[in-house]
Amino acid sequence: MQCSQCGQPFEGPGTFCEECRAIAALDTPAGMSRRRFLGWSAGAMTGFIGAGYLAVALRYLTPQSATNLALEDKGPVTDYAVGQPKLVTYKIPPSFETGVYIVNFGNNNFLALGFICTHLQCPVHWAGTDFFCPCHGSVYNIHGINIAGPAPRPLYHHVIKIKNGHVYIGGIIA
Amino acid sequence: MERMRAWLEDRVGIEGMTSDLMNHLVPRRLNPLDLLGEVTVFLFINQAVTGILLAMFYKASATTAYQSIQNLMHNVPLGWVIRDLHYWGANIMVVVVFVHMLRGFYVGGYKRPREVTWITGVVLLILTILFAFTGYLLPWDQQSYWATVVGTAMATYTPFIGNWLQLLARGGDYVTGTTLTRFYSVHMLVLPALMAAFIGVHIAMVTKKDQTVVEEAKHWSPEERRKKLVPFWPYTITQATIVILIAAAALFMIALNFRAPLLSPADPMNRDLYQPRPAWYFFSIYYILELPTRISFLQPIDKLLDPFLILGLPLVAFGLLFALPWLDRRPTRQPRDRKGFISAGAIVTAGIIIFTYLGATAPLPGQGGPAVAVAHPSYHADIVPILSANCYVCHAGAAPTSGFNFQTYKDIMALKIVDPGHASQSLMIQKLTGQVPPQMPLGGKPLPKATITTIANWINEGAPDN
Repeated sequence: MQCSQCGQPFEGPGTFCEECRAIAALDTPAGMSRRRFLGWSAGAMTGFIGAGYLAVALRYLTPQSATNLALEDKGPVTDYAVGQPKLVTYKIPPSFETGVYIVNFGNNNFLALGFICTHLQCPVHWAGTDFFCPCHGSVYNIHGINIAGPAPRPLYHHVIKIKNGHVYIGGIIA
Repeated sequence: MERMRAWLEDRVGIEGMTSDLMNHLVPRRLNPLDLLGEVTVFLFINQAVTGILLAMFYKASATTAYQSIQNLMHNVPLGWVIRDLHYWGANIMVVVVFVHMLRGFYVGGYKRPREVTWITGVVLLILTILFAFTGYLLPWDQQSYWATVVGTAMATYTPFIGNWLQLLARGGDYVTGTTLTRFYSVHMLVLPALMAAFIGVHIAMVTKKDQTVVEEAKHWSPEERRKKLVPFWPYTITQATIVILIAAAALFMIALNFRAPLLSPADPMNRDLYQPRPAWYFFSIYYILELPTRISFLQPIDKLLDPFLILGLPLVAFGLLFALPWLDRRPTRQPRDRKGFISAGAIVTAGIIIFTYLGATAPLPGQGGPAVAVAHPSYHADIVPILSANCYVCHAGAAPTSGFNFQTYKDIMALKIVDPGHASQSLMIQKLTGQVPPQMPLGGKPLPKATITTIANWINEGAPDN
């Protein structure tokens, strides 16, 4: 075998002869040899650069959760029959539309319920008596209260305001 | 020619680098199941080639993706062939990778010294599933859209960082065009690089530690070894190519005869009342998730069970796969000496197959209805729930979308859609069976037979208001 450091022939395992190993202090049991220190340093610097990229990438990929969404005019109060939830669209900037059920309980009592099931986010639909989720069978009553199936909580409430006889809805409040 | 080869070999040394793989010895007689790794490599190459071709026409944005797939299928020469090869190649790859793993499990391929081969294999299984999941969204139709909504919503059940994980996967609170480009980038760039790297390590490990079938050769005499062991190149390669040829023929037969589905375009408002379902390889977990709603004594603890089923089940399953080399450390590889592990594996496999079948055939929750036809149905106890779950969405309220309202008993009688005593002459039954088109529920799966029979029984008994 030829030592890859000094080029002289040697016996035994490894790529370096015993003399070269001794000079490089490769076998030093305690303390830190120069090579080991350099190895650790290179590793630490690589890790530092990598962590920098990772932090930037994670921030880059984590959008701001939408807050303070605008109120949207959803037409006159008279468009909404008492006890008949009606599905309307609600814009999420820049160009997304989600569904909101507007429920008129009479006497200007309104509720705006997001149409997204609180279990695994399938779209619920009003089936005459209750809201029904087609994915895993969750059922919500007209108040959006979960009454059957795996849904862990009631439907999300959107902001709802009645101004000048018109219904306005906004983002999710609870 | 020979001088050119020698010149190149002296400078590059390809033969030197691959000689371990090409010269490693394999038994001459092999079970075809031992060649599924090679079939997987072929399928991966099929995905890469067809994927590159698809990418040349696909336009990854919420407004253009669906239309670009339609263009591909109808206007691009052989566009549909490329898409079907990619779609069916992916489906077949999920099956082949799974069977390849089962074979490794059966022959004890995870045991010392092949633990790293096994673990890289499990990573490759996960990468295959991630490929399938990210690719599923790209056509941007109703099916892909809602499967992705539910799939990413599952992440929210992770403790502490659930909402962040969902935000990260979707690039927002909802599945939008941002999600589409995110999935496209991962599907096209991240996963292929990881997959190629892990396939490389996996094959290097097989080369270094041999396939498990080589173990039996250790007990052979030198004469037997000379006779029965052959180098991978060109013997095993030839056998593998024959199996790959069969797999390729099957892939082309399926791809040319069965169109990859494309439903109506993704609609976050779900105006056509699409009922979301997962891809078939998630049917088993979909069915298990639904179990608590089907088994009455589990219903009270349904909500408690959910996080465990949604997150715990896959975590435990893959955890067990990774830990397998350390769970079963006995050196024996003989299936008859490993009865416990082999039966556990068989039960889990049978469970996956049965639950996949049940998930595929289960009526959608919206179709409710009785499991067995009710002989003497009551209008209020039996009929109303069926109508409520399946019909009222278009046939109820002051301004029903269909124009017909039969939310009450009086409405049904006034509309004369039921002829008391004569089920077969009632429009309601004729519509449900499809005898009078269009079949109801419009655009949905037909109601199960037991449900239709229950309504027919009620009509034949005079359609009473009971």
